[in-house]
Amino acid sequence: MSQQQGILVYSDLPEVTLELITLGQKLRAGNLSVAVIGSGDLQDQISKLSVDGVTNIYKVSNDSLSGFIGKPMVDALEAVCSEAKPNVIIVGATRRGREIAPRLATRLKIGCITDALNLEMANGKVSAERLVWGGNALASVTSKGATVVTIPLHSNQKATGSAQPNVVEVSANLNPSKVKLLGKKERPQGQVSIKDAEIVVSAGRGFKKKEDLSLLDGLVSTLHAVMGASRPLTSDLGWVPEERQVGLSGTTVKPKLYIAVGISGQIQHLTGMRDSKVVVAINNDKNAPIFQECDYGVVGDLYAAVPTLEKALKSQLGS
Amino acid sequence: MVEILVCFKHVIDETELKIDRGNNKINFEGAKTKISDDDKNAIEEAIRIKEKNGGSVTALCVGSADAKKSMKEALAMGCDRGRLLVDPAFQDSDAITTASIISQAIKKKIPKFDLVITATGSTDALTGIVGPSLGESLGIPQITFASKIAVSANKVTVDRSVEEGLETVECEFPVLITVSREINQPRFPTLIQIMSAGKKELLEWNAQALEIDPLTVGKQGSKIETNALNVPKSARKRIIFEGKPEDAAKQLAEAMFKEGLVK
Amino acid sequence: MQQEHIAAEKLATMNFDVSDEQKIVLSVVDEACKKIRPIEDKCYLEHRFNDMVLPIFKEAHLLGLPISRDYGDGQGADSLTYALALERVGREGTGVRTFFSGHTSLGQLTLQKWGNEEQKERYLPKTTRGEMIMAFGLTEPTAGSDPASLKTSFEEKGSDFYLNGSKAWISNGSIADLIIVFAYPKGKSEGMSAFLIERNSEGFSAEAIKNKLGLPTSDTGLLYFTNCKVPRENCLGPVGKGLSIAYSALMSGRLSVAAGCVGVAQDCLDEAVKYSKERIQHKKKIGKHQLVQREIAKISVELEAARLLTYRAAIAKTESDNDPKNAELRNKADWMIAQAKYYAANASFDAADRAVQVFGANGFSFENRPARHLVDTRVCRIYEGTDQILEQKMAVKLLGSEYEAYS
Repeated sequence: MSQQQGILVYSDLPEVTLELITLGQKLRAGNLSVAVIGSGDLQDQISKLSVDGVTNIYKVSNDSLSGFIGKPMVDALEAVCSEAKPNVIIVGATRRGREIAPRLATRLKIGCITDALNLEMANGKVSAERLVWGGNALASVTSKGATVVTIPLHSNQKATGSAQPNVVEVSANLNPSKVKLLGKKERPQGQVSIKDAEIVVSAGRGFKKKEDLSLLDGLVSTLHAVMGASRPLTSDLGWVPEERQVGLSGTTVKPKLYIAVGISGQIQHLTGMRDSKVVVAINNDKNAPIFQECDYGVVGDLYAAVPTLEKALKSQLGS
Repeated sequence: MVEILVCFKHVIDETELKIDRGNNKINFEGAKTKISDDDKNAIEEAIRIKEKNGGSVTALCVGSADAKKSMKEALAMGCDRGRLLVDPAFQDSDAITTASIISQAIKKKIPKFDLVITATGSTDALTGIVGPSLGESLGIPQITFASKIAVSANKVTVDRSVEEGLETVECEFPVLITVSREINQPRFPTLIQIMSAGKKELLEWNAQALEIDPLTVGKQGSKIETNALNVPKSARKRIIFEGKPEDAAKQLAEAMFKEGLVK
Repeated sequence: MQQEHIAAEKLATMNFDVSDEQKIVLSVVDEACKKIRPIEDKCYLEHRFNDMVLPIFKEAHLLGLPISRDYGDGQGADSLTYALALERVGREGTGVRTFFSGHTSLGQLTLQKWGNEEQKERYLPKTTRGEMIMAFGLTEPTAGSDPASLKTSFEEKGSDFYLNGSKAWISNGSIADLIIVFAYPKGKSEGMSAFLIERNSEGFSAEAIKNKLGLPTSDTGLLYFTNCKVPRENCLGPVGKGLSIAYSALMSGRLSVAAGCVGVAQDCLDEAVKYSKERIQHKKKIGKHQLVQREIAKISVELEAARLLTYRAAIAKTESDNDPKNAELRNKADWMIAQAKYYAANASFDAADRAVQVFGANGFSFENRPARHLVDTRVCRIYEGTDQILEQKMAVKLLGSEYEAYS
C-alpha cells in the first residue's frame, strides 16, 4: 500500500465501532474512515455511525457477509483498505475482531498489535502498550509502517453527534468461505453477562462453604450487581459456574465498581479486573495482594463485614 | 484417520516472575519454563481427536534449544512426533513472522494434513495472532475460539462462542482451529509416557532446512518491535479500614456513597 | 531415571543434574501443587483435613510414583526422582508431604518390598489408583523410640491371627484403608511380625488425634485392635521378621521426611526473600538491613547442605535397591539417609524460625506460610526417628556397635 494515511476503524459490533471512532478522533491522524460490512443496504448502521469526526464510510454489502464468517469479512476489509489506504486499521477486540485483525495484517503484509493500550501515532510510527505475562508487565511496542491494531472493548466512550461523511460503496470480490454456519444460540436476553455488568461482586476462597455464598445475595440485589468469582471457586471447587470466573483464564471485566469479597488477589485474578474503575476489597488477611490493588478495603472477617455493609448501604439508599 | 498438527509455545512460567514494583523491574531469573497453559488444551484436544478417530499428531514449536523439554512433554502427553523449529535467526520474531515460520515448515515438510490446532493465545505475550495468521498464511479455512470439536469423515463441526452467543459451524478438511481453554482439561502424562517420549521422533529444523531467508525473520523480518517492559503502575487509592469488621464496613459504605458509587 | 549404572557414578561425583525427564515429572508435580495450594491455605486456616490431596495427585498419576509399573498406576520412579517430587510437595507444607510418607514411603514401598505376589496384586494397584490409602502402624502410646517394647500382640487361632492393642501417632491412620501393623506373639517380646490390616476388619477402629501442635490438614490417627481378626494371607513378610521390615520401612520414611524438609526450607527462603523486598521499615526495604540479610544467607546455606545430603542419600538408596542383598550398600544408604533426615529436619525448622523472624509480627500468623512451616516441620525432628535416635545411630557407626546405647 502506498501513501497510507488516516485511520480506518471497524468492528462487527456497531456499539464497539462507536468506541473506536472516539479513539480515532483522539489520534488526529488525518481522515477517519469507518468500514461497514454486511448484507442488505446497511443504512441503519451507516446512519448510526455517521457521528462527529467521521469523514468517510466505506460500505461493502454482500450476501456472503450475512453470517459474519471470517474469510469474507477479511476479503471485504482488504478491499476497503485498498480503496481507503489507511495507515492504521483499528479493529474492536471482539472475538471476531481478534480473528480478522491478524488475518488482515497477514494478507496486507503489515504489522499487527493486539489489545493495544495508550495507542499513539507519531512520525509515521504506531506505538502502544500491551499487558503481557499475565498482566504482570506492560510492554511498549512500536510498529514499522502501516499497522492493524485491536483495542480492548469498553476502553473508550462511544462517539456521539452527527456528521455527513462520504459514503463510498466498495465492490469486493468475495469468495464464500468453506466454513458454514449451521446454527446460532443467542445468549438469553435480560441476563446481564458479567462482562457487561456495571457493578460486579466477586467471591473468593474466603468463603468457607458453598452455602455461605448466599451471604452475598443481599449485597448483589441492593447494588443491582452481577456476581462473579475467582478461579478456586469455579475451576477447583465448582461452587460457581465457570462463566462467572473473573481472571486471566476466565472473563476480563471492567465495571464501574468491583467488589472483591474474600479474594486474596492472585495475579490470575487481578488481570481480569484490573481495569475496573473503582475496586473495593474485603479480606481478613491484611497482607493480601488485593489491598495493593484496591481503592477501598476492609480488613476483617467477611462474615461480619458483608451483612453490615449491606445494611448500611440499604439504609443510605432508604430502602 | 485424521492427520493433526498442533502448535505450542515454550514460555517462561509467568507465575514465577519476581515483580519488583518499587524499582520497576521484572526478574526472570530462576523462573521455570513450561508449555503455555492454553497450548496444553490444544495438545489435549489434538490427542483426543486422534484417540477417537485414529490418525496421528505432530507437534510443532518455534523456540530455543531449551524448548526440547516442552516438546518431550508434548510427546509424553500423546503427540506422535515433534518438530522443533530452531534457529538463532528466528529469535525476536514478532507473532506474524512466527506464524510465517510455522507456515513455511508445514508447506515444506508436512504438506499433507487435515487439521491444525492452536490455542487462542499464549500466556506470555498474549497476542492471539499466531493461530489466525497461520491459517491465513497456509491459505486454509479457520475456525477460532472453539469450545467443542466433533470430527466426522472429512469434516469438523465446531461450537465457538462469540459475543452474542454460541455459533455452530462446519468445515471440510483441511482447516485450522484455535481452541478456548474451556474445551477440555489437559491430561498429566505418566512417568512411563515421559520416559518413552524420548523414543519418539523429534526433529529439529533450522532456517536452512526450511529454506527460510534469515533476513525475512527475526528482528529485521518483523514489523513489531518490543522496546521496553515495565511493571504496570497501580493508581489505586488504597484507603483501608481496619478494626471491628462491622465498623469498618460502615465506614466503607459511607465512602462508597461519598464517591457516588451507589445510587 | 533407570539409574542402575549411573547411580554409583552420581554418588561418586556428586553430580545431581536433573534430567529433562525429571524436569517434566517435576512440572507435573508443580502443576498439582499449584492446584493444591489455595485449598491447603483454606484448610489450614480452618484447621481441617485437606481431602483434595488425594483426588488432585491421583489425576497427576502421583499416588504410586516409586511403585513398579506392574501395579496399577505405579510409575517406577527411582529414589532421586521421588525425592525431587517430595521436595516440591514439601513446599506446600509438611501436612501435604506427610500424606505421601504414610501412603507411599512407609506403606506402598514396604508392601512392595516385603509382600508376596498375591498381596501385591491384591492391594498395590488399588493404592496407586487412590482407591485405597495406606498407613504404617508401628508407634504405640508407650512405645516410640523403643519399638522393641511395643505391646500390641497377635495370637494364632486356626487359620487366622487375632490382634490386640493400640497404635498412636499414625500418619493417615484414621483415613487409611490398609495399614501395616506390627505386633509380638502374645506373651512374648520377640518374634515381632507385620500384618496388613484392612479398615473394615472385625475388631478394628480408629480415630483422628486432635490438639496437635501442627499438621492440622493432615490426618494423624489412633488405632485400636480388639480381637481384630486378620486372615493368614495378610501376614506381611516372614513371621518373626517384623523388626527388619520396620527398619527397612523407616529408611524410606526418613528419606521422604528429608526430601519434604528440603522443600520446606526452600519455601521459607522464597517467602523470606520476597517479603524482605516488599516490607519497608526505617524507610527502606528490610532486605537492605544486614541483619535481615544474615537470616536469608543462613537459610540458603542450610537449605543447600540439606539438599545435597538428601540427594546423595536418595542415590545411595537407589544403589542399594538395585542390589538388595548387598548389606554394605544397605548400611551405607541407611547411614546417609539418617544424616539427611537429621540435617534436613533441623535445617527446615531453623529456616522456618528465621523466616518467621524476617516476617516479624506477620510471621506470627498462620495466614503466612512461615508460621505454618514452623509448627508443622517441628514433627520432623521427632517422627521416623527422633534427633536423638539418629544422633546415636550416626555416632555408633563411627564408634562401633559395642557403643550402642540401647543394646
